[in-house]
Amino acid sequence: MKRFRKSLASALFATALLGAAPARAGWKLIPAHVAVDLAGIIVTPASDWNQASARPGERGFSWTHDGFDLNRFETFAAVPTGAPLYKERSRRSNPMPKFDSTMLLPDLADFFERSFRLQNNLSDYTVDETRPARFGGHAGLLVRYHYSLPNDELLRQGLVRLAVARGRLFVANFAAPQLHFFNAGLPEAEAMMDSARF
Amino acid sequence: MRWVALFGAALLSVAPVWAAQPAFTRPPYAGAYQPQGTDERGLWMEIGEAERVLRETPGLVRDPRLIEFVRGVLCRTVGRERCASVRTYIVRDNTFNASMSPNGMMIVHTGLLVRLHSEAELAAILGHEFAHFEQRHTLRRMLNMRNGTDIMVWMGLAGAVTNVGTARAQNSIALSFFSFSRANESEADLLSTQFVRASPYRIRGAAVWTRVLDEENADRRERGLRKQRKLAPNLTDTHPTDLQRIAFHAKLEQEVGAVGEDAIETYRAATAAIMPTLLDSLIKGNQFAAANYVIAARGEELGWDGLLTFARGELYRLRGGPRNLATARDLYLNATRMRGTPPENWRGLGLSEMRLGDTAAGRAALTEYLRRSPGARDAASIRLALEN
Repeated sequence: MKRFRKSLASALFATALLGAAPARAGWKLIPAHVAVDLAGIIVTPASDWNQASARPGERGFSWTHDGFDLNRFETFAAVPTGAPLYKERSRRSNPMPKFDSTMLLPDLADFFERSFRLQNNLSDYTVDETRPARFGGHAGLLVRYHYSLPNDELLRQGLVRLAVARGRLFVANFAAPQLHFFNAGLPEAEAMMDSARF
Repeated sequence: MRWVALFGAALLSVAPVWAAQPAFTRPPYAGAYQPQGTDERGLWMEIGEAERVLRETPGLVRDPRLIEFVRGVLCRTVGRERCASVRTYIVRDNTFNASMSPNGMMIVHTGLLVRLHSEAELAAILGHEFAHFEQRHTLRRMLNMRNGTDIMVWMGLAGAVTNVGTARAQNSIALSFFSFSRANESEADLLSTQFVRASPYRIRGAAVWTRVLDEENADRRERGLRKQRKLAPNLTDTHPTDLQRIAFHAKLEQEVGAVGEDAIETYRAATAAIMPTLLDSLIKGNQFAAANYVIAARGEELGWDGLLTFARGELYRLRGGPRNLATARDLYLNATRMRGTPPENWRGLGLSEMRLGDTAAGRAALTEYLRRSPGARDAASIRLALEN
């Protein structure tokens, strides 16, 4: 009896060690057709996505199919006044622009451009089109842009939707190289942005 | 600039290589160097591949007139014989930089073009880069490092076998790589001034490096750091300090006198098409004080026009906050009365007025923006802002 209890105890101990997952796990699989709440935005993907363990900002999540260099879907939910979009690495030497709820739609386009340029250290970024669009059931803004990374042969394109609701900023951004990946991934990205709710 | 001349005497004593100034004719040109041996040909092959990639990058500026202009300044500086072996590339990059590869590929960053005021200043930089090419500094540095690191490894082995500490000797070889680089930079400075003196241009190296230093100090002041006051380089610096370079060029300018042309107007005309994009990129970088300095220096020396005043307004508006928005509004209003003001000025004015609470003035300015630029890329969102 005593030996059985000892082996049971050691078995339980081993299971506890193996089963104990760390509080913040690594990459996560986001299954298709299941609505997921991303810190305030509810998104329903049409296919499986990979969610990165590293978050782009305090209120953000990044998804990819084939690696961020080939497709990137980012969401930011409920960014409050005074907060940056992407993570601010050094407040002193590299401060990020901060959201302000009094911003108008054109100001939001400028805010996203500066944030995206700084996050990716871009010297080459051009807006193709800016127009009003619905996002999450709210009136918002859509920006189409293209950019390139230094010493990189690929022209990259992006589409971002921004909206302010209850004084907070909500953003969904899809970026991919112009060569095949942007057009291939755009329909699903736009469907996710259309069906998003916050 | 008198204090610079006083520094010059002190600093020149630190660098005896600058002591004698040769006459202002260009040295005879032996032609473009061809790689000898497997290693050098391998290096050329790698650089050639990098050039092939560069040609395909979207970030390359493909305006033939601007490229021809930059090439023209180089040719006037170093002579037709020399510039025939150079291919010029202009790359979208906000940093102040230009470089030259051993195979004749010259890269100029747009961050350089936005910070220079005249052809003479561009000549100073391009002459310096060409001097590196002519003196084969990249190749010599590669060979020097390869020999040096070979020696370091053999030393380490010998030390391990004989149980003798070799770290200090190895460190001194490592530090010699940096001093070799500094010597190369000084050599290039010297040759480049010979080029400029033999060219129609005035020597303007001191002005360029002074502004580079002042811009950096403005940036450091904003970030709460002490000003850069380095009179002598650190052991690990790859270049002489800015103050040394300023002293070197200033002394030369005093000796040579105000000889040669600046060609400010031709520089302005040639860069006029791309300047709005360059200023836009500069403003949207993350250095408010540095961008403010660059714009202000340009305005003070070349005169404030609508484009520069608009650019400064954008800088303040994007910084945000009521005081900055008010400053921006004043700048935009000034720009409306100047020449060369782009339509986006009224966009900035309208957005600033609306954020400051003056809706009527904001709507008027945004309407004017749409009138001046009906095909604007954000016309639809501006109209929506007007409707609400």
